[in-house]
Amino acid sequence: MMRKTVSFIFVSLTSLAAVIVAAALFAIVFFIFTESIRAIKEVGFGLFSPNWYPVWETDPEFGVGTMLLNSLILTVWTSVWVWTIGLSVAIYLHKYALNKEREVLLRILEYVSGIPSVVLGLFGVLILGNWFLRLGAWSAQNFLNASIVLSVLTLPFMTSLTFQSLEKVPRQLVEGAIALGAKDLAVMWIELRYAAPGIVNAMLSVFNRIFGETMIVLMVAGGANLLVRSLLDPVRPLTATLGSEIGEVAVGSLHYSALFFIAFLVLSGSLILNLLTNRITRKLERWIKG
Amino acid sequence: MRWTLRIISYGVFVVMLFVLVSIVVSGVPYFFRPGFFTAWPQRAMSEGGIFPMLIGSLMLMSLVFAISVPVGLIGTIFLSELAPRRISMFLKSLAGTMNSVPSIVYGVFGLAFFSVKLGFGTSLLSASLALSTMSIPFFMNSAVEFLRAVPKELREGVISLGANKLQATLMVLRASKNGILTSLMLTLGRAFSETAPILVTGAVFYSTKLPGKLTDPVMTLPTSIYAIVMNLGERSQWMAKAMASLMVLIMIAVYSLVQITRRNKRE
Amino acid sequence: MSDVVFEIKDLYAFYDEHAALQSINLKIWEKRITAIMGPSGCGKSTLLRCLNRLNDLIPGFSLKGQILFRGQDIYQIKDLTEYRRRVTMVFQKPNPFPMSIFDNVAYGLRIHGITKKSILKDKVEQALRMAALWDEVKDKLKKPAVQLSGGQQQRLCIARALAVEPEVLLLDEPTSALDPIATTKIERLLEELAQQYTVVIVTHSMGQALRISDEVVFLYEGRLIEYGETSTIAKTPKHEVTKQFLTGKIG
Ligand SMILES: Nc1ncnc2c1ncn2[C@@H]1O[C@H](COP(=O)(O)OP(=O)(O)O)[C@@H](O)[C@H]1O
Ligand SMILES: [Mg+2]
Repeated sequence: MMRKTVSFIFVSLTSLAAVIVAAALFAIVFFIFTESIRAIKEVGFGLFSPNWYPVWETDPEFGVGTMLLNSLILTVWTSVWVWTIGLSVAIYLHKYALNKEREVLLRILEYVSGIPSVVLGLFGVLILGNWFLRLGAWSAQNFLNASIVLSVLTLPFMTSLTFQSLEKVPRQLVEGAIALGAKDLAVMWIELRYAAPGIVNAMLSVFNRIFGETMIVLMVAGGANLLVRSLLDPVRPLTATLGSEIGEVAVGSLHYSALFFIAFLVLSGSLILNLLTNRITRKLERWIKG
Repeated sequence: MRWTLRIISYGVFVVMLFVLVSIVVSGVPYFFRPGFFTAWPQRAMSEGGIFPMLIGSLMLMSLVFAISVPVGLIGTIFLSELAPRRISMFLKSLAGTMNSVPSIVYGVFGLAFFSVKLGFGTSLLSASLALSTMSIPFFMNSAVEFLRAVPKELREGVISLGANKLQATLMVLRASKNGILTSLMLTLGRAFSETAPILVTGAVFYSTKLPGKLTDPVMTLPTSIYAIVMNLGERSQWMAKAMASLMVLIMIAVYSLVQITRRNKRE
Repeated sequence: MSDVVFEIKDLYAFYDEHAALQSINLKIWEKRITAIMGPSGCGKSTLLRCLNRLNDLIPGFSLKGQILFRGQDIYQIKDLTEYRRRVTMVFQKPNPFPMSIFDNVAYGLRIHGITKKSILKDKVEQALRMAALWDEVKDKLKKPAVQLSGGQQQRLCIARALAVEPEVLLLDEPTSALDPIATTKIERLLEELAQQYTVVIVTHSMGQALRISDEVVFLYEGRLIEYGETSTIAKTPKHEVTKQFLTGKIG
């Protein structure tokens, strides 16, 4: 009888923990959405206008248009760099690197991936920022600076994930291709095809991380709510606004609600991206696993 | 082809090494200032030490540990040992999804729910709950792989000796304890280095005392780095650099420990 | 003749829709070695695992018909843990637990409530002696069990099973992962054990079945095609498939 009771308590306890976790995601979506309802009702489509003047006395404006665009531009631009460089490094590590080279580079990347983003922010402001000023940029914090620091943040992740997928390609496949007389590039192509689900997963995760990263853009991007026109312009992405204003705003105000709308956008973005990632990887896996 | 890739890789290597070394080196000398680890900061953080931030981060980590390890571990056990296949798959993908949600969202949620709705205010408690909300799925995602890697023969072996679910689970945990330890270290490391969620829910820039109760606000290493870099002048920057360097060294230590644990397992 | 331990009546077993066993009728006798034979995938493991309800762990598994253990329907049993102690199992791949040699053997005793040091010590020694492993490990009881060789690990698993004082020992191809010398040791051991225990062993080696078993059961594509005393069947097989088996055409 004792053992029955213990068993029962054990099973119910574990189910409870699982329920808590499941409930958390729904709670997050729910709370962030309900808090943004006021802004959606009162501002409506104005939320997507370009101007954000939340503390204007007479006629505040809550448009996230510019920030959203800047976020997207910064994310796409940085992602493309990270994808290309990360893929190149991963291919080098997989195909050509000596054991020693591979070990050292992977180790360094691992350590860099452990650098907290706020520390990378500090690096961007105090070290890169100074260089930019010396090179004649008119703002130490700018689009390019943020993009570089974001690349440092995500490159280790991109590289090691891609490298791992490439390493998982079965030997027979490669040897089979070589036996057919395939050239280097053709062999590489086959390996990439096989590793595609992992690589695409890495690429989309990188995109997601850049889009949602807060501390770096908050510290390094420069904070101007103007659409970016040159690499050296200071910009303010969505998350920067959210991070800098949410701590100081009056709870329950329209401004508060508008900030939750921004959070809702960021959250939706990552949820949609996550869904997309799962879809695409599953589809790609079908080519491999049959 | 080979040479292009090699040049790119070496370039990446140089940049990464530079970032790492310049951060560490620019801070380490300040560790030896008298009272750096034991004194309170003074004169707008231009003098003194980082004692309260260090303790604040430690307190926060202990709370995150106390909340997310039990819940995370129990949830993981449910996921891999007890749940029917469908539910297990559903929960797994849920945890994966939560893992990809940006950390600022956890901060904003923590603000709305823990600070405002539950009335915990800007406090150690709100911050640790927000961080735990983020850490639990992270832990589960990583730990579940290790539990699943335990061979089915081991589970069946225990069951056929007449063990019940609980005893079988304990055996699975024993077999995967190195993996679980790894997940635990990575989870705490990540929670330690996150800034955005604490910035919003629990941190203050300056406080004259340590948190005495759970509902007091707290100073931490990452939020103080942010505050100094953004708000204070050149005379205070050394403290931010020193804290940054300290954080990076701690993270390197965590990753090295993880590496050692993994290697132990292989033997 | 001795007593019936298991009586299997019109048993069907399914993985989801797939019928792995069909209309099996069978008796297993006390203190004898019954070998279950047949080509790979014919349902040997499934049948064996039905006997201590290990298949219950597999999602989608279901079963029709009856299995009586000493006259009692095993699907009516409430205390499964006690039942599995009485009818315990050894697997194809040695599966030592991640603990010391001593703790491996003591594990089953501990979970069944025996914690007194002196009793544990005695019983562990006794089980290891029965499994013919004592002399090899008596000086390293505190060492991790995974450091033993494959054959030793398998005998440790048998010792672990014997320690809980079962009535029936189920073995699923216990020697297929071992070298010939280790195999011989285990076969000798099983013959010893059959004086005290009922042994059911799955094997796909005809030689092994002939060497050690008293009864043999032939399965083919989920059906029982022949069973009886090993010596009789070896001399006069009735079924075509059995004949091919004996002459080595299948197997
Ligand atoms: N866990 C399982 N899920 C689904 N089908 C299974 C499972 N285990 C065994 N089977 C199927 O049941 C049949 C019998 O398997 P098994 O009893 O393991 O055969 P044997 O031990 O004789 O090789 C096989 O066709 C196999 O594919
Ligand atoms: Mg089998």
